[in-house]
Amino acid sequence: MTDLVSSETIAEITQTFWGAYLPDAGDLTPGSHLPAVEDVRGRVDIDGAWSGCVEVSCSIAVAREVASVMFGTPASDIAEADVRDAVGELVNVVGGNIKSILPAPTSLSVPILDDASEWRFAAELQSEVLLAWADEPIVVRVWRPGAGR
Amino acid sequence: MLAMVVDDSRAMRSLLRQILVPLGVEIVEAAEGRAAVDLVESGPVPDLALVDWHMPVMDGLELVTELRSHKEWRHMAIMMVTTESEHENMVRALLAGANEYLIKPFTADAVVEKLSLLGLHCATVPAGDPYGGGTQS
Repeated sequence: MTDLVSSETIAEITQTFWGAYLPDAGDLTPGSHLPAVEDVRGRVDIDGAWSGCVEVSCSIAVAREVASVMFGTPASDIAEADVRDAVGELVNVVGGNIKSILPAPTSLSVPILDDASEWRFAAELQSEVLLAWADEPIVVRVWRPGAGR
Repeated sequence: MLAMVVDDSRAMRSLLRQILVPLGVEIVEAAEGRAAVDLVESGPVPDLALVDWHMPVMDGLELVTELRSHKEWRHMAIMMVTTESEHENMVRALLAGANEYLIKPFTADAVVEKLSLLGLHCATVPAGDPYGGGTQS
């Protein structure tokens, strides 16, 4: 997997989301110095010639900013359901674009938000990219089924 | 012009609304394909449908196929708006009857350019205002 999609590519894909939908919010920066605060978490599953999942997590501050821009509403007025919906779209776009550079054909699931994490015990972490927006963390992980899955 | 935005993400529907409404486009929304068909059947028939691919109940490809099976709706332009960028799937959507294809993430300028390619000309997006200055309605 690391050979198929590099950490640099994952970072570029995530930045592309930021540049397109949050053009005034400033660029993402490397975030390995930040604690991985993962208040909101979602994933999309990929099945086919390559199988696994793409998971995106972030702090509530990042999630609220994304939702605020996408809903055109001040962050203070954003409801929890809006935060989940916006992060779902972030996961969908990042995961979908990662899927596009994996071996085809594959299918993409709809976003799965705040799911229980038991699946992680049977999964193998392939790549992890730590990013930051305004000193708030964003983590993108790519997982493949482990030997026990 | 009346546009129907079909996407299971309320955030994405809102984002597209913020781009299109300042261009003078009226918007109706559906969260998946079956609801979109119901919306069109209840009228009026939109001039444009912006259709996500990955949705529950009825996905975007099924929706395009269904919309194109109705001759009375043939005048409706259909633009896929999706992360799905496998060449084979893009061809499938176009063969099913989609007229244009826009890959997420997109900019407001890209949406306007695609509308122009469809012959759907709208007001110009104000300079420096990538989402047209629209607010949620």
